Amino acid sequence: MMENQQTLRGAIAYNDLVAAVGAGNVSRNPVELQAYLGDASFLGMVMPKHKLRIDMPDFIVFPETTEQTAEVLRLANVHKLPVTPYCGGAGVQGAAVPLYGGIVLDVKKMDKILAIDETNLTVTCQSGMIGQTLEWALNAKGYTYAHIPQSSYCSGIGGFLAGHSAGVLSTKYGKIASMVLGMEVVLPTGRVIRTRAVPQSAAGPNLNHLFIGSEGTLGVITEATLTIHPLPEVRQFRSYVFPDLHAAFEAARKIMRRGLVPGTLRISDLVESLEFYKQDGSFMTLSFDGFKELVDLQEREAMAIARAEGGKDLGPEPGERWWQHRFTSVYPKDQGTPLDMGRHTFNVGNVIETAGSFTYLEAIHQEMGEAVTRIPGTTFKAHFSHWYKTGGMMYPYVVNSGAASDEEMVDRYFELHRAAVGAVLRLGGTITHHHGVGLTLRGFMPREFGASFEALQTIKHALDPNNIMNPGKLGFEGR
Amino acid sequence: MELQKVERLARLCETCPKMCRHVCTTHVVTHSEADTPNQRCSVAYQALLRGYFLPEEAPYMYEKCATCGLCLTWCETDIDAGEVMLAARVDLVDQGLAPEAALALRESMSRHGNPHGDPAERRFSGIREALKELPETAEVLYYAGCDTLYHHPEIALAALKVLRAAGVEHTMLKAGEPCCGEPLRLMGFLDDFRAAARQVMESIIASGARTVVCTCPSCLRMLREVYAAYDVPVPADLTFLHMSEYLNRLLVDGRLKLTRDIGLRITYHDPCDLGRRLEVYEPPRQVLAALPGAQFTEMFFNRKDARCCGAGGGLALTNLPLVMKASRTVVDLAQDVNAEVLVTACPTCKTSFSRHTLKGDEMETLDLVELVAMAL
Ligand SMILES: Cc1cc2nc3c(=O)[nH]c(=O)nc-3n(C[C@H](O)[C@H](O)[C@H](O)COP(=O)(O)OP(=O)(O)OC[C@H]3O[C@@H](n4cnc5c(N)ncnc54)[C@H](O)[C@@H]3O)c2cc1C
Ligand code: SF4
Repeated sequence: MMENQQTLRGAIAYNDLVAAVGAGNVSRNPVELQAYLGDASFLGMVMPKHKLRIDMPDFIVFPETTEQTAEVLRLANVHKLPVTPYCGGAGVQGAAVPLYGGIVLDVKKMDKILAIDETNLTVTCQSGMIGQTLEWALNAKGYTYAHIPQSSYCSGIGGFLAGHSAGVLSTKYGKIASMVLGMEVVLPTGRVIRTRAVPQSAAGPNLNHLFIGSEGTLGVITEATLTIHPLPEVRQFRSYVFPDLHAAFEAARKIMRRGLVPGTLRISDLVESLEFYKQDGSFMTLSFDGFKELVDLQEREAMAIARAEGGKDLGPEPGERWWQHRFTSVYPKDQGTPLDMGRHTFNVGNVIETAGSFTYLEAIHQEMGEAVTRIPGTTFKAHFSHWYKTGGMMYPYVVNSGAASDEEMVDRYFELHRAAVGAVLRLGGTITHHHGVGLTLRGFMPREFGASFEALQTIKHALDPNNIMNPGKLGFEGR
Repeated sequence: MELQKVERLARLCETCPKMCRHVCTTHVVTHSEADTPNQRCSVAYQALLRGYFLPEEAPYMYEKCATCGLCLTWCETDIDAGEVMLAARVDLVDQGLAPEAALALRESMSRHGNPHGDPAERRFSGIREALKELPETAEVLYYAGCDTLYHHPEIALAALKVLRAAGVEHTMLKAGEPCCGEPLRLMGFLDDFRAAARQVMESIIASGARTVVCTCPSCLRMLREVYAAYDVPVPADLTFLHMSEYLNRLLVDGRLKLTRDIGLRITYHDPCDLGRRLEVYEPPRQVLAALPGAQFTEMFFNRKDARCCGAGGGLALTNLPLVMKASRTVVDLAQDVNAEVLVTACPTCKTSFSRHTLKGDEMETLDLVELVAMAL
């Protein structure tokens, strides 16, 4: 909080904002400010209850149009107020935490579908739509946009784009970046730009990719045109258990290489297979969706590959059950939340997910496991989903318990990151596949990018000369 | 604090990444993070830890929750954030932080016996002639409730017409039908609520009826399950039915005959208390299916997923602008399926929707029993 509420400077800023978006769209109410302090990250949600207090933002602003958004950003430059774009606030890296107070710009009042083009299979919508709301609107007409992350109910289009997220069907439909044709973005200075919504283009670099994954540091995404698909006729599941993780990996690699297109392909390591699926070995669930004949054919081919790698067929039931309960794990439980399992017991795994080539993905699993379990009180298991012809993603589950104090817990939290990410970077993987950088991984950005981080910083300086957009995120300067 | 009774719900909900925000009646209208079940529970939980509410927190407990049960439907932890809000309101009353609207409601209940501030003598004015024809006692008691009698007497008239046509021996609490008391519970006045509930049960028992039929799902829910939960004695041999359930029985038994072609495209809105709370989903649909010439289409959100008209939880008194916006979303869904009549089975929903669907417009809102009366 910059004490804007008590100062003349604050009063003027407030009145300017009210003039831009209307009194009903600017809030200084303490109850509302409190609601925007954090997101769904450990740092933004759990830590404040233990030790690390986050300063209050000064204003919550709800623009209803692109023009209003532009005016808010222009005013933020005038008043030198930081702006943190906020969509679902369900990011798990703290990217939406308003670290330096100022304006939280909630995009969710921009929640309209502007067009559903059934011939060309696109939907154009504003960025404040919650994922499931868009999905339902499309389902009602017989379509899907096929981006179904576990946060479909709580995150929105702006967050998906700015966070470069991945849905559970990404192996077939791609991450959000591969669904985008065009976008409208308000640049940090208030200038509105649009990228051309065409199937493909060779006209220079694709600017969409500058803003996808930018975590609110380069502007506010206000609109997007995304691909849609007719709802699949069928979705069929099949599960297998392999003698070891390597065999499951080989099956995954060969399935992708064969040109099969599973919607989901999930592999659990031996620990997770035993704990979650009661299977001795490495558990795999596969699904194919589309029209029946093609689905049957792909399933047959996949089955042959799985069998050749020693996979035992478990039939459709385990996969169907997983699909039905795929959101269950994130609801609060008496024994704790997925992040915070009681005093000083916490999970960091979900924010050190990584991606890498087939050559070293298994080694990442091995070395990360070893690195984190060297830290006292740590257990490690992982699953692999989101596959590509070139490799896949690993999602670890790293639980630490037994820290003697809040201070020690905070230290361990960061130590675990250093250990896990260190192993990833050493072997050639990326620091994050889909959860983004936020507050936890910002320090690793120069190592992830190498010399090209300077290029990224140069772009940031050029687009945002006053550093108003989400300062301190993505490894950029704070205030 | 009353909140202690729901401590677990508030504590767990506070840690959720808002997995029901996409359906919360308030949130889909205001889009604010503060207006989510999770945040409201968080405010309540912090108040419980602190031992008291801050004045600025009161509106979030009173004006932002329709107690519609949509959060519960989507919550895999089975948390009904509405229950937390109702407990919070009791504590706010104790703390002297109840809003004006709540105090006015209590005053109206004690002076006029209804939540609307309408004079008690007007209770039956919309159905006075029909009332004269009713016997003193009967097997079936039609319990109309305040919203029907004061705002939609046409629903009561239709109900009486249909019961007569089916040859049902029926009557009403002619000497004075008391309010079911639900508005008092919603506003946090639990002692007053229990007193009202006892009065209702005494009147019903005294009437000698065996079956009580309601057109208002909230009254029905009080009688069928809520009174007992508040230790108000309810005789086990009394049967409580919603009009849709009763009409469906009459149709199945062949006592009610619908012959007139109504020739309308219709859709049906599941009221929160009838649907999600009492799980009465099929009887209204079966009755609608029996209407000659009705073309029925479901709205995209139906049954347990039906949207709320916004007027639950006392919001019609504390936050009318929100009710206007929430009810608009349901009307839009009905328009999406090209309905001429948005049928509901609750007088409160009818009030909410009728603000958008005026008679003579392309779409009209009618109670189910009105349509049945049209088809006689
Ligand atoms: C239960 C749960 C399950 C999850 N499952 C998945 C999953 O399966 N796959 C996955 O990829 N992620 C998952 N996540 C993480 C999260 O959903 C993603 O990071 C998502 O992209 C965040 O979207 P949001 O709307 O919540 O964004 P927020 O948290 O509000 O914001 C995320 C970042 O985007 C910026 N931002 C938001 N809107 C805009 C905009 N319009 N313009 C510019 N910047 C903007 C913010 O400033 C912030 O930096 C999960 C999270 C939770 C809590
Ligand atoms: S009611 Fe359930 S789903 Fe909704 S926020 Fe609370 S815990 Fe989450």
